[in-house]
Amino acid sequence: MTHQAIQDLVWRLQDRELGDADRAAVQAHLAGCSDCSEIVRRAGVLHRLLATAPHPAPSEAFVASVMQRLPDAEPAWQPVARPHAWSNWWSVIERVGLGVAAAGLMLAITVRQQPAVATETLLRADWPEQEGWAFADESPDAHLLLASAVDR
Amino acid sequence: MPQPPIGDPPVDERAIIARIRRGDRNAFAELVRAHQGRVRGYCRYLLRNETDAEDAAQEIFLKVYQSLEKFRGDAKFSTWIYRITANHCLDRLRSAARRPTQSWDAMIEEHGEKAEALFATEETPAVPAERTELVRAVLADLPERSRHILVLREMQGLSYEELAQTLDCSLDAVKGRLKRARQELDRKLRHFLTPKGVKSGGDQ
Repeated sequence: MTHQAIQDLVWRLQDRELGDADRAAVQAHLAGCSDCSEIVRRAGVLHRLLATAPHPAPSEAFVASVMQRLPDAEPAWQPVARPHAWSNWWSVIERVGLGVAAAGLMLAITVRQQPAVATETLLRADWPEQEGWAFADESPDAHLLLASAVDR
Repeated sequence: MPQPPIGDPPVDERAIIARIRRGDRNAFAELVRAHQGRVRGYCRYLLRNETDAEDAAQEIFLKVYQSLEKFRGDAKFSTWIYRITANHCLDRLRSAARRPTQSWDAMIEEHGEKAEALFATEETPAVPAERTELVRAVLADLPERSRHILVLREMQGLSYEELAQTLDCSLDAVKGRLKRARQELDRKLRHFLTPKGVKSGGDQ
């Protein structure tokens, strides 16, 4: 492996991003090359310089500062409305009310379908002398109905 | 002593985000608490001073809050935050480009021996604030793109794949940019990196 090829791989070696074959090749080259070994050494110093640089300590004051500025930062989105307890009750009341209304409507329809006065009661009112009536399944002829109306 | 890598925070982010979306603003404090280390650490070494960095970090969290609806969960939440952080820092750097900043050369003149100690193998400078300033000055002399990728890789410990997602580029581009950034840093600091009497060979 050439010097240039090794120097391309030095940092990846340090980053542990090299495959086994490349790593073995680089290490074999480094064993006999002082120039490339010096590059690796400097790479190590630079890595340590950056990796050990102090990071800010966790700060509750920082969290508080962000939270204080939050009221000014209106979100571009609208929070999803969370149902309150009272709205749950209102929903139950609504559903019960709808159920009651539907039941009432059904009852009204059923009652309406039943005749308010029996047919026989009406016939008795018109013909009090008649004892009883026989009802035919077939419709009477039109001329018989007309004759009956004329007689009356 | 090396710091532990910055890993995923042990919080149930999905549950927290769901609470925030329902209007529970206080839940946002938990997200800030979990990610402040990443964001503030990134800003510290990207921007020119601590005041700028802290102010930018606050603004970044406000942006996160305002655009939380856009987070679909395709990428890791931390990657999404890094992306917002990187863009925000770039904007700030560009708007502040005309303001003077203390260069690495000026720092060397002022704090020569402290800079030497920065590269010592055994001990690090005693005062973290001085160390922070020196590292910030080292990075400030690099081009923006190099600074970004070095902070993400070396300080925040992102993998190549995470770098590609955060910087919205290919894996090959990540490798190329990292290599260039490190070569620039190596060239800039060659004097400090090479012990006296040792030939500074292997020019990269």
